[in-house]
Amino acid sequence: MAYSLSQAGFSVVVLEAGPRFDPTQYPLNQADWERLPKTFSASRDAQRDHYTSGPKEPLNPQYRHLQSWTEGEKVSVNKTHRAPPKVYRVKGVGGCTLHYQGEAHRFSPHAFKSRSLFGYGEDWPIQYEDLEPYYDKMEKLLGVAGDPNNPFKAPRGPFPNPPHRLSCASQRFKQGFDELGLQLHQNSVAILSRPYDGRVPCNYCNGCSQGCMMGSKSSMDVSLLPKAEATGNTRILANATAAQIQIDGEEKAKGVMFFDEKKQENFVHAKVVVLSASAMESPRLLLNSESKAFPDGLANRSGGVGLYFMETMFHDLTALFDEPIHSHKGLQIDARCWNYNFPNPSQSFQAGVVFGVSPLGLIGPGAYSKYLVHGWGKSHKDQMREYFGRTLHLFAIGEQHPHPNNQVKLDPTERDGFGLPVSQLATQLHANELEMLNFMAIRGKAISNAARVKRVLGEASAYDLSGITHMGGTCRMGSDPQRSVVNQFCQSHDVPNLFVVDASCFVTQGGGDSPSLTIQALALRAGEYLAKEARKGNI
Amino acid sequence: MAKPIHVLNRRKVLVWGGMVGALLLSGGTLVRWLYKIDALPDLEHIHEPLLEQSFENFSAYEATVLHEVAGLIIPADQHPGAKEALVVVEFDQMAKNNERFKVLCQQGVRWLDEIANDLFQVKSFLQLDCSAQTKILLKADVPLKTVWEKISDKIQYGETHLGYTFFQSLKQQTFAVFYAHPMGWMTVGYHGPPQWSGHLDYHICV
Repeated sequence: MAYSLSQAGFSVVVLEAGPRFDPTQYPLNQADWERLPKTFSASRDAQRDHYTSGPKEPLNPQYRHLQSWTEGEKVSVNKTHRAPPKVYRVKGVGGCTLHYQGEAHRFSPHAFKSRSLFGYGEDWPIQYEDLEPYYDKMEKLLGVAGDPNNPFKAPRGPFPNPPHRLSCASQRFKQGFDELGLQLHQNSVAILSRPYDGRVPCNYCNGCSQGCMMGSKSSMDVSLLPKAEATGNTRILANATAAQIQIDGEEKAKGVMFFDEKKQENFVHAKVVVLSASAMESPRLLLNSESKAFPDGLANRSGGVGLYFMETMFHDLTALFDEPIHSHKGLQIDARCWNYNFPNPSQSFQAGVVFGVSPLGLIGPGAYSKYLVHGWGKSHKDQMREYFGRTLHLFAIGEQHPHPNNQVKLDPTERDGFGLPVSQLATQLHANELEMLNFMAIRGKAISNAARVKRVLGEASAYDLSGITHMGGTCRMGSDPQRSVVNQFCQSHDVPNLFVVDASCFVTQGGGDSPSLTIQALALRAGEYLAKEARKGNI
Repeated sequence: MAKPIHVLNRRKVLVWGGMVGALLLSGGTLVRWLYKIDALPDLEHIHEPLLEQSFENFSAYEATVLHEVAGLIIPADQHPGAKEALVVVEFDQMAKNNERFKVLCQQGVRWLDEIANDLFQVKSFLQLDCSAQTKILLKADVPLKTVWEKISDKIQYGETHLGYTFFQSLKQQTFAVFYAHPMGWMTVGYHGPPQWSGHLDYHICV
């Protein structure tokens, strides 16, 4: 939004709760990089970033076989409840794109019509065709690399950059997919495969999640925000935590109260307020902005703020191969399998699922010794040699149906370091999700068997664990102001000069695709609309 | 009619309970004083000489024991191990900013000597050969199970699970330090940190 509005000549102030990072200071070039604190977790301010969870969720014993396990560690047979929600996020200039793996997926056309096509969730008030030009534009801005000939995706023109070659590790796992008649396809990623827009291409260090030192991953801090600042129209205030959106007598937003880096209270006046704080923090800010006119939270006359929270449904299998596959080298996620992205009515669940392969955190020997190789002495050393560079994760991400009871609320008692009520996440798995997780586990094992992996070293499942990287819902878009929070341009139904532009406005989750590119395309579209309406004097 | 005689009454239970509690609380300190475990053991017949480097946070004796333990955690074979990588020097640096780690290491060294004495009647862990030292570490690698074991550990060493806690911590730090060292990389065929060279050969399988 900052990019699009500043390009259109509007004056923009960005309030960013976290710091501004310097990519050259990421520790990936240090000998002891695995021992150093992770760049983005080290920056977290526990008091500022606090959140709580709702009542513990009991595990459904019928699916006990999905319980997570790791080789060499005893599985607790007495585990009765799911782990509390754990959200992975970054507060900093560039937000979660600082640690994302660069995946740049377009949602498929069917993902916008799940109610009419498959009978679950809701249809979006927009279709793929509405978003397509903005997907195109955003891909060009980010220099997305990919193969346009993906039969599971909508027909499209060429990507701005050619696809990355599959890593040795992905080529090896592909044999299993091939044997089952599945397609492990080159992923589309906002990671440069050749010099582009003044930035250098990726050198395949695999450290995307710890911040790209090369600037080859198009995180917002190195791609769009510098362009926004270069216009002279955008000012970014780092370490500025938005606390409350205030309204005037006409029920319009008049600005934002925030705490600056010295934790002093400040106020910034604005003609328009755009909220892009994530599906957890955006509803929290609205709920914390209650007033006489909006006693249940700002822009919440529908009562929908915070509802329909969708978390990340995942299954992960750690596979060990006989031979070296150099799994520490490459891109974090260079290959995906979209065969199950289109929900299949003959399955026991209704949702899209996408498989992928990745080393995830296993990119240096320290991580192997910490997470996988537990013994000591000669056997430890032998096992390190047996595992290093031969271990790869096969994972699946699927969509969670939007349920009104899965929600972000304000915790009635807990406060953050500024004295503001924190978010309380209440999520629950329903029968559809459990069946989907079961499917992921069964298919994952079949694929790894077909790939002739030497051994499975562990499995992790959203059945009993929580690892929320993709989240959505909570300020969903829709045409009916009684049943949605924002309209198709992410504009509040209740407060016309307030926009919520992040995954909060998602109606469904895109069948397992990564959300970033869709958030970014929605932002370009909303920015264009906002600029047009503002010029007409309608906002 | 004669009054019944109670072997146990409420007062006795309270008195004895209090005494046991006080013993548990003060036991560690008491035993430490009795054993004078701060004193340096007799170092005759040790298998390796004490390290000669100057350590800021550990005595030469403590550092040498930690060095030996690290060497058992990651031994040398066709490639160097934790001793060759001198991980103990890094432990000394860590101890500077981490008082808990420092104290745990110091207590751990004394615990090793105690067990060496119990099992092999020697005063120092360093007097044992590799196989006897390994036996002690195997004992340390198993968490205590019974309540009595835990109480006994608390009385004897002032901390429940001391040996286990010490060994788990040292193991974790030995791995972390060793695999952040070029000698550790060599062991598994790793070529160093991700940047700036990256892995331009990432797609080649040979």
